[in-house]
Amino acid sequence: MSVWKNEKFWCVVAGVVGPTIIKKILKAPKTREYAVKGLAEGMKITADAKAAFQDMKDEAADICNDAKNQAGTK
Amino acid sequence: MNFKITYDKPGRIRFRAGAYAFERVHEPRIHKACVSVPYVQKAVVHSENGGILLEYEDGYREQVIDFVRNLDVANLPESEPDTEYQLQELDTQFKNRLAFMIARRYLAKLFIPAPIRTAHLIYRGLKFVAKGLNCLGEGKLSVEVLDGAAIGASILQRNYESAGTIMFLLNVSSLLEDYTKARTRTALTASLAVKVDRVWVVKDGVDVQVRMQDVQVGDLVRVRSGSMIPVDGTVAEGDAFVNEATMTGESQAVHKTVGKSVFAGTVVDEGSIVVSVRAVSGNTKIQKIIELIDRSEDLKASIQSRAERLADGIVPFSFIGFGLTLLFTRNITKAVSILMVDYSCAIKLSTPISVISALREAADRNMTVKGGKYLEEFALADTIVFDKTGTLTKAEPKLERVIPFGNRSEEEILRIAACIEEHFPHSMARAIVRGAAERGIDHEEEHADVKYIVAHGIATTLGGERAVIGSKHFVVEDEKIAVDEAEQKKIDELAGAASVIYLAIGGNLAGVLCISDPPRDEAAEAIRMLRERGIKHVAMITGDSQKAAERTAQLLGIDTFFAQVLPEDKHRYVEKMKAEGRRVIMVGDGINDAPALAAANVSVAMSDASDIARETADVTLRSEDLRDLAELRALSTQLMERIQANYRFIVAFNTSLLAAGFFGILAPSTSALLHNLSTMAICAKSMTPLKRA
Repeated sequence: MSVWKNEKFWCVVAGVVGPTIIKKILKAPKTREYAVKGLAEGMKITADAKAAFQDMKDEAADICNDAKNQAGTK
Repeated sequence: MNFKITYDKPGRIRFRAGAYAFERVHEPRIHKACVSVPYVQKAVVHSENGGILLEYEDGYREQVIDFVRNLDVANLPESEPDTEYQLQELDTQFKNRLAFMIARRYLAKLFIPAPIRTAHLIYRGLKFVAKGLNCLGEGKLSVEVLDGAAIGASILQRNYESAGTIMFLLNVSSLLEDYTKARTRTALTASLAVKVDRVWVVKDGVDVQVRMQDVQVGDLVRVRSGSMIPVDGTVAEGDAFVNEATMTGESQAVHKTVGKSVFAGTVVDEGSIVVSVRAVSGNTKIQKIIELIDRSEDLKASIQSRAERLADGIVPFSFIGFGLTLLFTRNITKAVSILMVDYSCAIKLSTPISVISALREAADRNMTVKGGKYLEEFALADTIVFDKTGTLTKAEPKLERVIPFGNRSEEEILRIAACIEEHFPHSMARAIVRGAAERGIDHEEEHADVKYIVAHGIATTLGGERAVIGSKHFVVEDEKIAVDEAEQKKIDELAGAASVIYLAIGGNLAGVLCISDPPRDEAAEAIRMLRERGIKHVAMITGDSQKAAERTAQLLGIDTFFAQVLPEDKHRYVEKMKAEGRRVIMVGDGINDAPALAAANVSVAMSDASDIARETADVTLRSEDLRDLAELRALSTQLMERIQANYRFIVAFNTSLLAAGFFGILAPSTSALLHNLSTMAICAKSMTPLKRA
């Protein structure tokens, strides 16, 4: 049986080559660039979500304050 | 700062500068800058959306907008967050954590596959089990063991829903407890810090009272007998014996003269000094206050310790209940229900929360209580003992009359007395000096060095003759000055109920000065209120004459009085009453009251008390109103009632849950839910203010 058709052989090759390629990809400047971009995007989304949530809380507090004023409880 | 106004109504305006307008670190600075503007009443600052909410006095809208427009965030001075901001932060953190906990619990069910959730739950459950085993390993059969057993049993039964509910509720309870303690501690610190002393600063030769925070390095601060030195510095003028026990542990007072260093927190026992400020130690005082609060939690009320012992004591019975239920019903589900419900965590949580909330409430009402056990003692006391001068009476006695004997005139006696007495900041001495001034009598220094005999009187030499002035005990008994019958009769007739100060020169009685000390306006009402709130016996101790004491006792409705008591003997009367089985509250203000204050079950120092009395006392009033004592009595009684009511509710409610579990009416998870919800409810209720009597 030809060695090229041996499944185990290809597993060994994949085992040796795979990590090397992954390491190369991880260390590539492009990868880093995308990762940083992705993280920054994520951080911005978190900050925007927090801001939007705070806006909602503020508006709710203002409505609540108006209601209290109207009811004369403040 | 650029912003848009998102809300604008009279007295309330909200600015929004956007998400990146300023950082979180700037929040306290902006908050401080805002609240320090005179017309701004409240500020809320959020860095998340760059929001600033201001509540302001009507009519200042334009000024408020201008203020925010000119706010230069980057250049605001760094500052410690103020209390209001700290409290807002604590509230926000609590709400966020609670929201996070609830969201995690319910969102996890939607998004995380069941096997992963189960694995995570088992992992978290094992932490509780490990904690329980730890306690068991240390030989303690505590609430942690019970929690661990209940969670462990639920997991073993594959009842993951129950286990998850118990853990969730336990975490919420613990979050609530931490929040309550942190909030109470912060508020209490603030209430106490407001009191941080005012000091006397010598400016251009005149003593001016200023706030502690306004004292600068290089200022000259005057410190008198019985007062605490508020700053680190060097003695610039005068000399004094300083008790440095708080610094060195040495109880013997140290003689400090010009050029010597003195330290904040030490107390002037005798003498008067002017200190040149080297370091302003506002922080030292605050530090002491925080230590006091931390210690307050250790100074647990015995009802609190009893509750905790009881809570742990119940745990074995829960296990016995579990065993018996299993034995009789052969139903593990019913047996686990017994483990799910216990009395202990509710008792253990609600009691300290009640106590610490009451401490905060007392502080908000201008009363500093140094620990839960003093509130408990205050509620249980049946006897109150007052020092008379300065406590029951106004701190400003008045010179009523001068009775001369021998050849000297009234004016001459008063001149000599004022001349000797003016060196000492005692209330009686001040009355004599003021009396002389009111009568237009000038007095020049005619005497040699004066010697002050604490709480007795003064001895000096005048024109080569020994002159003594002070109480009858000091002048007649100690100094052996003879007072014949006719003189005594005259004194008794003319002095009436006034206190009498004797002046003797050259071994003969030269004259007496009659000083009246009218009771405080609210004293009688305060005593009546105390009686209404369960005080059975009201007593008064004084160094004054029998007559003066009798008159005051009659006026105020006091049951027992002890007159002509020597300062060193005051505590004996307190101890005697305690030996008779009474629980005694002692109220005093002077340096000489300190031993009696220490001897009582619980002691109270008035707002204008000496620092030594304030240090010794368990409770310090920050107003001069004696009715605060009745208010404190009401507060402490209500606290005890609340603890007892909580206790009754916890026992009744959880017993019914146990019974429902035993008869299979409630499933273990429902029992756990109701039990933990009731625990949280009782903790939340314990945080509410005790109602004003």
